[in-house]
Amino acid sequence: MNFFKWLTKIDRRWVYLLMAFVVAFPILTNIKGTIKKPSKSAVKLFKYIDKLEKDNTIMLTFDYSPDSLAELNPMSKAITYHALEKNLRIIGLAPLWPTGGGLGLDVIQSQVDRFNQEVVLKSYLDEIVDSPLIKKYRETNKISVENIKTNITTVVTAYYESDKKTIEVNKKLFDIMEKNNLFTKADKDKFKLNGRDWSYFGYKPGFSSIMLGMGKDIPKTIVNDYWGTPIIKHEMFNSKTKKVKSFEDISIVIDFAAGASVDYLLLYVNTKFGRPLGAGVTAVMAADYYPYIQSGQLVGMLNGMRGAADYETLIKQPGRGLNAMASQTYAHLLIILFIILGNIGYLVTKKGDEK
Amino acid sequence: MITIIGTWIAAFFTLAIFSFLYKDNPFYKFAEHLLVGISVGYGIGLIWHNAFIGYVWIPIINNHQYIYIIPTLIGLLYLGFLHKKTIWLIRIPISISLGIGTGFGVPLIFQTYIFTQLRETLTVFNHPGMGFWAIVSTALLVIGVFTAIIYFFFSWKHKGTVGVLAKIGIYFLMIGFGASFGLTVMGRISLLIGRFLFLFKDWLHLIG
Repeated sequence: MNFFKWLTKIDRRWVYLLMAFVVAFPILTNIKGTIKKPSKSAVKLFKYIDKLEKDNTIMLTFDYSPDSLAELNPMSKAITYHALEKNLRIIGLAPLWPTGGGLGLDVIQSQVDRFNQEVVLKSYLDEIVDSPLIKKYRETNKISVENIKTNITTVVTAYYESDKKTIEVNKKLFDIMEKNNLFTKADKDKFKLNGRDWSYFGYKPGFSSIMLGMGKDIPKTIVNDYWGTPIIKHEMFNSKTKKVKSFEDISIVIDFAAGASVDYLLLYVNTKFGRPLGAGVTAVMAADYYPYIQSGQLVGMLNGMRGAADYETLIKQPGRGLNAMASQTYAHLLIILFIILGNIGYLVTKKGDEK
Repeated sequence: MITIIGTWIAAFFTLAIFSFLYKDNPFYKFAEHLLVGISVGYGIGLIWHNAFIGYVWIPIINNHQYIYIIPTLIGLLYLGFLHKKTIWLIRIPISISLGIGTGFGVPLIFQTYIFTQLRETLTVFNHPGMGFWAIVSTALLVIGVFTAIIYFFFSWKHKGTVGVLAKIGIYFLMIGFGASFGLTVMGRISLLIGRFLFLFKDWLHLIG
């Protein structure tokens, strides 16, 4: 009885502190979370993208702002990387949220850079380590051959962001090779190039007119890409055999949303133009969109950080989503404990007061 | 160097916002006001560059597409609100956008949110090879939709059979709200984890 009365009077800041500890502990002690069975909605989206053929085009729309970056960046990076691995072409834009313009570019650019570095480093592992340039680099930075090889291998198999030092080593190697023209044409063909394999439009105001326009003619509607280059100059939009003209040529549109943008895209992309739509949403919104998966209006959906962890598990590329799962689990257990204690305390003190 | 400075600024403001959990203080207020100011400034800059320069300046001045002057002038009528005598002018652009928006929107909204949803609910059992749990889950879906609608049906008193069905509907709604609450908790914790990962990994480099 006294314990529960004491609980009702406890300063809420102790609760915050306890929550901070529970979240921080798995991160600091490197406890990793696992996903044994990814959610059905994530598997549906994964399978759809996985079945697409080389040079199919997917459109990623970034409708969020930095406050929901923690939930939506890991999933958007995982899907972008999956698309690059599958040799799909990517179009990115922010049709509704001005803040999504910069965030979307960061997602695509980071994954393209990662992919390009991995391609080269995979094919040139031995040559890179023994080349005079790298020898000099190794000596200057006092890095052993084995260390470099291990780092390179790690970056291929492990998550890109999980090891900052590895990224720095690889980025420097890549830059050295690029500056010294060591890449062959065959190498460059494997790279993902802006304009050929991906194109980014940034934020485009006027949602309805942009959507209706893209249903008929994307280059005419969008005109310039993020950097002001006319997109009709891009190989993706002017190729004779496989150019992207309108929504008809887009295999799936995937919206990463922190607001109602999925509702709008359902109207235009799915209902109006009959194109498949997928979504990656913040957990707060997820419950609203399950009916659209059941009805087939959404191909699949990723639900918050758990959705990102699901997708990272499916593509076997652990990232921030999976990194966060242990903290998420412990925090949920603590909240469940609070709810149980709170309810027992309420009932006990209420009974005591009645007496 | 820029990245390092950016990371330190972001870390300072993260901690400034977190400091509110202890109590309100000048650091929190500073961070809050700065966020509002930057958001507005960023928005104005972005709209100026993407909308005005992209859709007005370049087409009219650079490309000599003078047809764009008409929508620009209609858009400028929004500025009529600046004076009492001209405030009525804003009705023109509002009525145009409203008309176009409604014209495009209404059929699509009916199709997306009502017809398709209704069709899929009515034909939900029409999937050959459904397993036992799929049938149970589908039956729950149909019962949930039906009873929740009954709950919002106020033309009859919620007594007798209607009362029982409405009560079942409430339970379904409560489960729905519970699921939404659970997801909201998950979302908020995710944001906290995101900030902690930033502080420990990107800022302090305490973990690999």
